[in-house]
Amino acid sequence: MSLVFRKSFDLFKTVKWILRKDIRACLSSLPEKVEKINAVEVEITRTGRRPRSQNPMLEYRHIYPEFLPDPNPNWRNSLREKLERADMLERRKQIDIPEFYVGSILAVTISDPHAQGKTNRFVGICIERKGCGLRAEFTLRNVVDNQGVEVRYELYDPTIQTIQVLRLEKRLDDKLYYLRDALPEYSTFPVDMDPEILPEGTAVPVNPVQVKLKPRPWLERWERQELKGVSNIEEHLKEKDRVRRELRKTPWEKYDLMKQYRKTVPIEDQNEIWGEVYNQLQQMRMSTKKTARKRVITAPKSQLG
Amino acid sequence: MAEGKPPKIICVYNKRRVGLIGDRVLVAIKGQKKKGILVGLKQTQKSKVPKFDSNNVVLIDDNGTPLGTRIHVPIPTILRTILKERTHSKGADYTKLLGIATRFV
Amino acid sequence: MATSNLYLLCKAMNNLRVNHIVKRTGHYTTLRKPKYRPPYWFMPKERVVSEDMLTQENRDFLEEVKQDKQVLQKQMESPLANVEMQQATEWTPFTRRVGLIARKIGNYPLWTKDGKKFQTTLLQVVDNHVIKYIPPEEFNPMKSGKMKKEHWKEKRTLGCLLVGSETIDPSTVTKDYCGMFTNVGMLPKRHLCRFMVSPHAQLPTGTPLYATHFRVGDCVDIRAKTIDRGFQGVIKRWGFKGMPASHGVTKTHRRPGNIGAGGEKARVWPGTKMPGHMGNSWRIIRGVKVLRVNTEHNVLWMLGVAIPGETGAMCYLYDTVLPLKKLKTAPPFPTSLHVDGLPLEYYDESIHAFEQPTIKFEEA
Repeated sequence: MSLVFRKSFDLFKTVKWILRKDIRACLSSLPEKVEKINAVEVEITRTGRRPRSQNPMLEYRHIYPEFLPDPNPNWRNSLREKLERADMLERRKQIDIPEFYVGSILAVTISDPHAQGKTNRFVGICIERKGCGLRAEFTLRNVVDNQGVEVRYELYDPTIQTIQVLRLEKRLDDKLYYLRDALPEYSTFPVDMDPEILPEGTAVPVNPVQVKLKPRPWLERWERQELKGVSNIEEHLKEKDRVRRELRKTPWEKYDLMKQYRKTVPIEDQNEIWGEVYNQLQQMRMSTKKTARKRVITAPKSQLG
Repeated sequence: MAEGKPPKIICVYNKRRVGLIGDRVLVAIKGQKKKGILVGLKQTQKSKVPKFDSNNVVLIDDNGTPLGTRIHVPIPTILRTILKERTHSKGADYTKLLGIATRFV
Repeated sequence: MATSNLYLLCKAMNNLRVNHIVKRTGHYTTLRKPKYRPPYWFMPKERVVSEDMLTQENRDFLEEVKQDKQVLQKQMESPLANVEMQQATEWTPFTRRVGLIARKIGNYPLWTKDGKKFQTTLLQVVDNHVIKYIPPEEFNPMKSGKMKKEHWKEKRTLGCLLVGSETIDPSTVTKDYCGMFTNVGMLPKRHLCRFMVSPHAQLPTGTPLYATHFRVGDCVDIRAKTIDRGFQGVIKRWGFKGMPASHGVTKTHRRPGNIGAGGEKARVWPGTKMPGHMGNSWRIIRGVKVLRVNTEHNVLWMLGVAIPGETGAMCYLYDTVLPLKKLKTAPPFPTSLHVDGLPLEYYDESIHAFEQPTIKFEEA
């Protein structure tokens, strides 16, 4: 789900929207498309109709993407979304669901009726995040005993006891399914990893690692997807694949305004949503930061030993 | 998979004939037919059930006793409940393979 | 909109004067003579709103009047509150009580205390009010069934309660439709429904109905119109398997195949499953469980997503008819009263509320 703004319903206005330089700030999750558009529209001057400084609450759409509803208008209902958000906040009061992105390394403990000791801990890299509202899910991948394992968890499942972020970082892609076809060293993470704490106030680091893939056969045609985090696709391709890839390309997709429009929630709705939810989320973040600071201060003894 | 062809599942002992975790299967391995239990699947599972990068089978005899001494691969914890249900008091005891497992995921 | 279209259509067809009508006799094959006139009881609902040449002052005045009326209706006390003492009627397992008109607002998951996830449908009960009660002797609906009217009249034991949901602006509806409500002193409603009710479960006009009418854990029958899927083929409509996509199959992948047997009755039987219009039909789902009730917004959470209709469609809720899931203990009879100090949410015992702490399993 791309997190791009869309203005009101007028087509003229949407065209103007895309022609403005302010897009650079908005399309933070689509850098490739922005470069191409900016190259074309450099000469167009700014018309100061739109306020430069956007609502700071809207930053939360990257941190808590599950609060935004599914943009399909057939399924949207304001009351149901309000009730859903209230339930999500209630659950967040019980357990701290931290900020994480695809590419961060998490450790999840769940209460498992099947396991001995009734708890089960899994460490892995987050390869995808999907779903809206209470249905939000994420998948963790790790290589355990030379066997690749992936586990899917629901964010708001009441059997999850803790979600701990061991390394908070982003990757160059939205979904890391190519790790299944990559060399196992890129998906291996030690189970007893210590949490790496970033200094406060820093932006989330982007890990520019370029992953090497195993030789074909692959699970998907990675060469046809525009992946930035893969280094050696070209080595494994034949002439036929290259030709087919050119034929299959859809260069008109970046000009498809309606497609973008249909994938996003309008800015007016987003303002309402974040207006409801911002204060509570901010309070929770403050309290978790305080507890984290306390832990850091009291932790040194165990690290020395 | 040391010699010969990789093992293949030739029959799934299930009404639907599609194997799920914990199902008994017939495996063709090294030119012989042996029974086994499915321990890990590549198929997408329900939430909290792990999905593996390869389909894993633990070879078993008719009484449910595993033929090997150790399982190196991690095993999902759901197997414990599934195998307990499958085990009848006078039939085969499938829970023995949980004893030789090294790691549970 | 649909009703005014029907009216216009009927009017237009009245002028056509079709002379030649094909008539066939037989059981299934009777072609009904097309009707060009709406029945005498038909009352168009929507009004063609034309531009009134009103000044801004007058328009503001009208708005004020509407607001005042709405506020008055909201503040109107439930007539049940006064009549409390007089009720000697008690609930028996054979009494039928009112249902509710609800709107489907969406689905979301809820978890049980065992950690299992279930999808639930949310139904919102928007301002429901009782409009009229018609006792069994006077109730005379247009019955086009097998039982003749005289026999049916003798067997009648249930009265009819007219319930309306969602108050609308009186200036958008016709005077006849509005008059139906103003005769009893209510503002017009968007949707109306008849609920067949035992005479001692009757309610006075203007009684508001709330979601707490159904308790958590009760089972409910839901009657609603299914999603209109349009003209559909035989595979989607009747679940036929179709034919293989390859292996020499020529031009036949999603067709019905054979439509009849040979022999003596070598014809296509009436009722043969064929492609046609699918959906937009009334269906009743029995035994749907209520998992959670919110008293502030009057929302019910129902187990499962099988409730017919799309998001935003209306559905009618009744007490279950299924013998094993019927009410065994007395429900709020004849309906629940609006009390101020009610808890915000009611949860079923098996459902885990999000305010409760994380689920933990104990060692057996």
